[in-house]
Amino acid sequence: MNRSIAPEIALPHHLDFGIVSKELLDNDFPMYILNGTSQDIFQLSIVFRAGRFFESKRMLAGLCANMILKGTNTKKAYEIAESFDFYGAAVSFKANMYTAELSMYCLTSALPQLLPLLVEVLEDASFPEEELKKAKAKTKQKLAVQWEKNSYIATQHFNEAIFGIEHPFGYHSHLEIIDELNREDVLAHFQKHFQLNNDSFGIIAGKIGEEELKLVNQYLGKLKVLDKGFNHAELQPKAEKEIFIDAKNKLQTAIRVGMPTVNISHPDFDDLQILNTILGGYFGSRLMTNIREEKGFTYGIYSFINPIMDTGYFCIATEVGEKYRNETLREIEIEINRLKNELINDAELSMVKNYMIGQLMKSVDGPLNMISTLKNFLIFEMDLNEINKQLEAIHAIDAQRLKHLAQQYLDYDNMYKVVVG
Amino acid sequence: MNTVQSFTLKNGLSILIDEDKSTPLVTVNILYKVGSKNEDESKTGFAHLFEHFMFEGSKNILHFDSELQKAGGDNNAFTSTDLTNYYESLPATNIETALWLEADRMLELDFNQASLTTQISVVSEEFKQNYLNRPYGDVWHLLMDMCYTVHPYKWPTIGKELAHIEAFTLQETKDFFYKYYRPNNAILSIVGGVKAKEVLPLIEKWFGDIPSGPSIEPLAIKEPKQTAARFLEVERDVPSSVIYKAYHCCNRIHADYYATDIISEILGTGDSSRLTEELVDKLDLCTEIDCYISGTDDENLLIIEAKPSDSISLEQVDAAIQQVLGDFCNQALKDRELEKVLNKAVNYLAFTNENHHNKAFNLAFFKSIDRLDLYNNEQSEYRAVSAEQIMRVSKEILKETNCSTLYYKSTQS
Repeated sequence: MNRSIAPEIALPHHLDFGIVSKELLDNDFPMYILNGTSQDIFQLSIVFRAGRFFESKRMLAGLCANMILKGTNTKKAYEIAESFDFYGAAVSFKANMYTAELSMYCLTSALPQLLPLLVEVLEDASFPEEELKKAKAKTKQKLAVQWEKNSYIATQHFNEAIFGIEHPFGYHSHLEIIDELNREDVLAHFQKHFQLNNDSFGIIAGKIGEEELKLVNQYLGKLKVLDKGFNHAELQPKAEKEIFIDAKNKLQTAIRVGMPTVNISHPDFDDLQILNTILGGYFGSRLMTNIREEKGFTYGIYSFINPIMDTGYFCIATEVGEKYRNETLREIEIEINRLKNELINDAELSMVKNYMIGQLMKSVDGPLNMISTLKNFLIFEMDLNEINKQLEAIHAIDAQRLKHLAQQYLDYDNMYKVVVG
Repeated sequence: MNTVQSFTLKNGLSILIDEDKSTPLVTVNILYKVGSKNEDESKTGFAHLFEHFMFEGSKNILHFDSELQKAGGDNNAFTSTDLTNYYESLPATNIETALWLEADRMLELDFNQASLTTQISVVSEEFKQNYLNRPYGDVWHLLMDMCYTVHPYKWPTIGKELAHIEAFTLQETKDFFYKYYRPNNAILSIVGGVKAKEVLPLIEKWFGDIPSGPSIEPLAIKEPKQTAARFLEVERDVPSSVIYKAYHCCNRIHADYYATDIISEILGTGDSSRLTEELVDKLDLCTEIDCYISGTDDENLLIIEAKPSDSISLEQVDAAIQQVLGDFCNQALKDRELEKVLNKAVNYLAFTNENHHNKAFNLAFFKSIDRLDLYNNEQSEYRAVSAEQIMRVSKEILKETNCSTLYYKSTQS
């Protein structure tokens, strides 16, 4: 036996992930169904168009999401929490930049008790003044801690650079803004946006039979479905590319390097994801290998592409020892230019391809993993067939195409460099 | 119900396999029974640093991660006070790659100084990122050092100080490896879309001839019983103050473990817990409060942490916590509270059992504490806890003489 020879491997050319069905509830709200867990569990996810993009005042979306479970016209916050807790369920509302989400995890057997409660909350959340006061205090306390972290400060400035300080994705989350929000603002955001509308959808995953579907329809199918909300915001990217922020904590410097890029609906997007993976999208990436594994400047360095609404951005993020900051920026530039000037060799390319195929398999490994995968496609009006398109793109791509993409999409001089420390 | 097949190789390696036909993937998990509790107080942080070193190449394989990625897999590892755990998750067709990789680094590492130097630097940056350059980053250093006087839980897994990490030598990595990273001190667990009868010969092939090491005696050191209240106050440049109260309680395999876990749940997990209801909802003394147990193998801690509301002092919060605990110990438990906690446990276990990765770790972990039966029966452990047991245990542990209190005061507010 020769221990230096790797065993044979095999990877799929097509992924089968069972059937995703879609039902229209009685109110015509689309509900996607991922059936087939081994345990008697149930997970519900509803995506609302209710994130920062739809705010009438800044920081409203997050505060609103935090308060939805804090009382209805007949139930106090404690009663609601106790009822969900009693059945062992976990429920949460969360606001993102564009979307907002409801998640509920529970046992299938608890649905008859939990669904009516959830519907009551969705129809009748009351945002009591005393709970608003507490929610504001808690939010401010948490934010104050965030602003102590160089990584948080860097992300705030990076978003500002990409979108503009006046844009809903680009404004800074300052504590003081919270004080200006009142109950009417929060209630209005809830009533207008945290509702089913003809641009939102739901996904259920778990062991789902006719009985469970009937219950879901009985309760969620009677909710009102509104017309989708509108808003408009101009992108105002910052002219200045290099942003240095002097922060209190000096031990480590937080670095963000990136630029706007194409969206998931662009034909180059799947290929660009492969390029991103090579650069900084996995543990074996060039940035991680160079800056962590060879030089030891950092605990971690990653790059990612974040598609958001009709735009998107590319970003490299790391925290490095203070004395390594300039050298790290130089190495980032070198790695970007290598992609533009050199062809990737076969060994590295096949490693990246195989790794990404494994990740695709994981993303559809059972209903619970599929729920977030499907959600991310549906937000962009795509479906799970996209997985096999991505798989095809991975199998098809070659070194020439990657070099060409790097030349087209990556331009270090034109990238924002945010340095906080 | 999961069906576990259990084997032991001649060199002492424990093997556990749970076939899960629902997934085309597999998790290969290796647990080594060594953690920061096996360190010397003057040389802390080594078990964790060594975990990093395990990825720096082995006798016959230059790049662990690259080989795994080629097989479509990914991996990670963590070190705790009691154990060091490694796993690979990959397409089940390629399971042999994971076995080949894990076997080679169990056989012998590529002990080289350059790799050690780099990983010392990486871990130093990790220390800075998570402990030194982060608000509240030194809480665990302070709290554990107060709670434990002799037991090695007194320092966190990352290490007591940066200087310890910077001082490790190549010889120490060799000594550590040949003492703790031998097959007889390891548990290999596999959960996913594979068949035991096909995997076993592969395990025998790659691991069978790795020599055993010395047998490792369980740690003899016992933390003496705490008899008087302990208190520490520090001032830090953080946005808000925070209080920690830590109470000694039983070890992981003690008959009271699940009762203790239930106590922590009733007191402080979720928005309907006793402490949240009283201190956040009714009295508005805190913005948040939590209670949990540390979950270590040896004697545990039940920990309460709370952030006061604006203009409320830590002293006021401390007094209110003691009031809630006093009431809890002196009043009968509500049936509904106990039922709630059981429902939570059932939910948690059902979701855990849906995930082959969690299952693989649980298999190895339960084996490491000699309670493999818990893999399928943890639910009945929770069900067996009575209200009387909860009351008795609460009275034993929830008292100031058994408590270490940390006031972490903000200089900003």
